[in-house]
Amino acid sequence: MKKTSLALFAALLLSTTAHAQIANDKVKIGVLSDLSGIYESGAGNGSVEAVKIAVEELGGKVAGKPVEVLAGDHQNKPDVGASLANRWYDVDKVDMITEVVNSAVAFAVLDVTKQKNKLMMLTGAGSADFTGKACAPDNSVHWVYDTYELSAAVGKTVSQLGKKWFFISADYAFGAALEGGLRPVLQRNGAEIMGGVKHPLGTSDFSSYVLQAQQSGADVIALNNGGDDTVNALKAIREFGLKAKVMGFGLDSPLAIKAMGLATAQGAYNVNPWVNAEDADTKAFIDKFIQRRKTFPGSFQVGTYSAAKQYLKAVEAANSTDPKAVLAKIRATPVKDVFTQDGVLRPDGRMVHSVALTQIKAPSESKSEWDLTKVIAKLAGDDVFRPIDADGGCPAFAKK
Amino acid sequence: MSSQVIFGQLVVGLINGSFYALLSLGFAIIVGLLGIINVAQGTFYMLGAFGSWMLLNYLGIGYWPALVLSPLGAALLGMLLEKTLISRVYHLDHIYGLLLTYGLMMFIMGAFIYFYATAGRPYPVPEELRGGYDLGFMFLPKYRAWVVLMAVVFCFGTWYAIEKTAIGRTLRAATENPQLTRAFGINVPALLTFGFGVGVALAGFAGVMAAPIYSVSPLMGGDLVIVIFAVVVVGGMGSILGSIVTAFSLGLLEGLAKVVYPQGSNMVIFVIMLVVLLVKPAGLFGHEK
Repeated sequence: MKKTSLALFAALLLSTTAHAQIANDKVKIGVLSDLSGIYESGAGNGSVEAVKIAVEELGGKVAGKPVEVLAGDHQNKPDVGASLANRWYDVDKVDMITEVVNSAVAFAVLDVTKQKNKLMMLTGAGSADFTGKACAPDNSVHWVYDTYELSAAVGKTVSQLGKKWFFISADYAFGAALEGGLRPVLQRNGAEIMGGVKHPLGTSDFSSYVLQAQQSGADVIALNNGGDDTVNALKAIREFGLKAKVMGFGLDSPLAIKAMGLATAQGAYNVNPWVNAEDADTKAFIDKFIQRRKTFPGSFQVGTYSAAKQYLKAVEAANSTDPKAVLAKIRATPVKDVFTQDGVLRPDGRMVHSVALTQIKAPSESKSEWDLTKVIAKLAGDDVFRPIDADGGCPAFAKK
Repeated sequence: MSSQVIFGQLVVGLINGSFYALLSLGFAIIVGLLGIINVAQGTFYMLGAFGSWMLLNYLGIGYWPALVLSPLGAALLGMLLEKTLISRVYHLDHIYGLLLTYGLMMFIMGAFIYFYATAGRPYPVPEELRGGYDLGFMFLPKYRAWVVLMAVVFCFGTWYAIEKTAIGRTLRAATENPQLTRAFGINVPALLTFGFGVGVALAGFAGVMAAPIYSVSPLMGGDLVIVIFAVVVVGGMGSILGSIVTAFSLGLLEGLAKVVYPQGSNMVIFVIMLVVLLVKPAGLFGHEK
């Protein structure tokens, strides 16, 4: 503890006012992610590759200075993430850290980033507190999604999917958080909650729960779980011939959908922060990504690509790596790229953009290996992200 | 609570009971005949499921041949392990057999995780068994009905073979008194190897049956073996009939628990095991020695 406060003090002494130039004649981006654990497939090495693609597309240089990409594994441990961030900022002179899947780690890295007055662009972490009580408008940007937006977006689907909902939730913090966020939002949108079950993590047989969902008479079943639990639940729902629609938080991974097979997964819904515009730029990026990673990019990876590219363009425009100067440039122009067509970076650090309600395609609709989902509806960013002056938002922007 | 819910859950319980029965049958045979507490039984179940997945994906061989080939493959591997490793601990305390098979389980599971990772893999329901029956109170998928049917056939068949046929009598004789059985000119070690093979094949068979319903993954048998162990203890160590009856009853009780208190459904069997061990330590169908 003493050591950290000493280091903190030293850092404060050393940190001077904003450099109006690019320090060290190099721009360095650190991709801090889970490179070996449960989040790897949706983030991890794919995110590192996404940043590298962004750098290559800009010719490896901005403002005449070479760009370097570092990759680090936080192992889902906040202390590991924080010490790596410290080393990156102090020793390796990293200018911006991105991705940081896992909110617990991201909170720790945010503290370091604020102390050193650097910049963090979050594309993997989900807690809405990053633009809430933990907001750091000058040092952090929340790019892809957050938990507030997830529930709000699902709430918006009530008119489309149906009014009677049933929850199948994993019986631990994650499932409880999803369900807890969903309940009030659904009720606000006029939905009726017919019931719910909590199942132990890692359940292989969902038939009992599925029958209960069926007998509840629900129109929509929300699967508040992830990984194999989502896969097995959806399989059981199909096997027992349920007519209800399925909304699954765990259905955002192209790999998981592919593992399940379209025959089983078809028709299920998911809210995806990435709206695939299917234009030439997007196709080019996806092709590059598949070529290198042998898999379709997930929304976090596309978001990381987008954040890195917007960052580098802003560095070029500002001719500086100073966080405030860079953020001012990103805020000045709407974000329009592979990740979003209508992004706006708000003063509190939230990048507001449309999200997609997607549906998994039927086998007959799928034209190629990775042609798995289609966009059913676009939900406007202002309708799903927490308003800047709402309760729970960034205190600096609260209603007076 | 409506009778619909209860009926539905009872049917589901029966289906789950079928899996427990198939698995505990093999476990009970091995523990009854060989005195080995085969913790690797869940691994052979996984191998059965993975075997059918490999047959389909590498060789294009479908469900029906896999139903025979995959358990056979598991049995061959099992018999090889019995000959080379497990047969060496017969004369030692039970704990050695348990530790040895535990090690085998960790080894085989670890190897599969290394090569195939832990994500589940899909296995399609065979064409002939798609669709289902509307029972009025629920929709019963054809495949699940098939599982129940097969479980009943195999349970009865195994019980009959062990209790009523000549080969069953010889097997039982070989465990009761190997010395004397050998005196009759019967090759006891070969018989034990065969017994182990049969037990393993049953687990492999359950694995093939499970493949289309659950995700095929290296972890699939790991937790199940604890439940199976509890079933066999409640039924009475080594009692074939006891395992069958307990397995089906457990499935039904668990089904009811999932309606009343879902979070606790995983505990039901262990609570029952505690009570049975306190009241009748040899198990419901076991005999005190």
